[in-house]
Amino acid sequence: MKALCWQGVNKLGVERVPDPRIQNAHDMIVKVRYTTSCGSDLHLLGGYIPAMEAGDVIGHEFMGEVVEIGPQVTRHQVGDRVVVVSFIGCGTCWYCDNDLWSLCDNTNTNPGITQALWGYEPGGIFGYSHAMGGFMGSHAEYVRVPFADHGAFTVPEQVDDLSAVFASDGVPTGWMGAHLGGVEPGDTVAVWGAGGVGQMAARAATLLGAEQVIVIDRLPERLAMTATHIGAETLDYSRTDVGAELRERTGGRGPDVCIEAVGQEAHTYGPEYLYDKVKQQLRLENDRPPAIREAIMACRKGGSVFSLGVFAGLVDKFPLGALMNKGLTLRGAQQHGQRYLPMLLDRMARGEITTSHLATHIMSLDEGPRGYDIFKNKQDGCVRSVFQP
Amino acid sequence: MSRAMVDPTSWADRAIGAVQKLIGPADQHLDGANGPGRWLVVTVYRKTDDVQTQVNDSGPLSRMHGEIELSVRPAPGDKGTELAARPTAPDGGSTQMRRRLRAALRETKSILECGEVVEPSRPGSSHPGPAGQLLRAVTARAWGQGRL
Repeated sequence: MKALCWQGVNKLGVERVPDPRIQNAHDMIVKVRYTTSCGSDLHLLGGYIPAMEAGDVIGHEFMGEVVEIGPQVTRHQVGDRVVVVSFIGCGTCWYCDNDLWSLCDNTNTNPGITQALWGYEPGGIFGYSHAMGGFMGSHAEYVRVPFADHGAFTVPEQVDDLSAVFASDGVPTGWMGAHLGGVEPGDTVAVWGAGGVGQMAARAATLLGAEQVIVIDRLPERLAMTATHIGAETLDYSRTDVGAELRERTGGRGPDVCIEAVGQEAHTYGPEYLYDKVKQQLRLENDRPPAIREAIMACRKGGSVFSLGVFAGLVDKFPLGALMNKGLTLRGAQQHGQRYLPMLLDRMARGEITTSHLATHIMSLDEGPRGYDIFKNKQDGCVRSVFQP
Repeated sequence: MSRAMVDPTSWADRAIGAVQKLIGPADQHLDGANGPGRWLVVTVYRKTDDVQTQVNDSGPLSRMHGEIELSVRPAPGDKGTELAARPTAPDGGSTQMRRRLRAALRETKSILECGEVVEPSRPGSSHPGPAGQLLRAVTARAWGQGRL
């Protein structure tokens, strides 16, 4: 089959690779209909995620049709239209049973690497390096889905394929940020990043009862998209001081919940950006954290900051003093999609969450390198490049 | 250049050790994580009787009987059973032996909790160059490496 493969730092190519096969009894094979780019893929592309090999298939957000099931798959049958959660959970370890699916104990096949990096290993994920399981990604014609009974969900008839693909990761990630960030009715919520995940976090905050939701970015088309499709207030950080603007809009208090949906390649202006960029290029600092620094400083006393953006290593100049002395709660996670998908798909079927507007660029998988080029460089108003194998 | 200098397997062990030294010095005591007497432990989300039965039967750990001592005890709260193992060798066992033991513990846990040990994609799609070959040697060991 053909697949979009990582070939080196900032280098992708379409290659012919072996078809996936049933390897474990709980596996399922899905023929991909749509698979989308994600901001966290850019960290892979840029060489910031360890343990990538030339030829690895990338992509972790997808939907399609079941074409083969393993002997112990009971919830799906050939022909089902499914969306698959990007993180793989066994469903039977303590973490999965406690709805912390991306922390699954049994799906990271190379736990030694991330144990060395982070103390303990998270679960496995499609197409995100050998440090995170070594599973072939979804930018391909077919994908092998381990523990399919837990990770694949039937798409309701009312949800079309293009909308459904974003239920694989963007929608549940955003929801988790608002939910585990503790959004309550009447809250003011600020979201850093108006990409797919940020927009979904803002929508989730509204549905959870937030009275005021403010999304921060610098790209005019993303801010306009957020205002139109999500209905949140927007703030352009290239034109205003974010801290002062948030203070003014919140009566001097600061937001109750701050959700960071930018990740380790955050952009800002001024000497702070230069400092982080230089140190990152010299590999003296792994990640660039200006967005989360700003979120911690802006958050109201006793509030909550949730990190949705993907980070991999160590950062400098982290405002730990602000975190501690303001009594903040800081939490982060890779998405626990299995926890939320049934509810989210119902909401999507009822029209409460719309996602197809995120698919700004739809193309053949053969155009994958070009799709990632415009996605990475944010050209032509690109929010997500979506591929059809 | 000699074969030893380009052998990715020996460089893999050095690479893992280097990462551990960089990232994890704060909680490593004088004897490190692998000193004599150090137990390797997993918590299995199953009842103690189920774990004891698997350990006694022809599971991964049974293949190491005679080389290891085992301990099975309830975990606090609702977390299941703590399954601990350590080499009986006075020096704490070789690196390779401890790697086998970690792998056996992880396999035992996975079999008990989900009935199988999930495999990475095989044959996979990668075609690594020299740096990738080193990485492959590291990942080939990663199932038996780590901080158990």
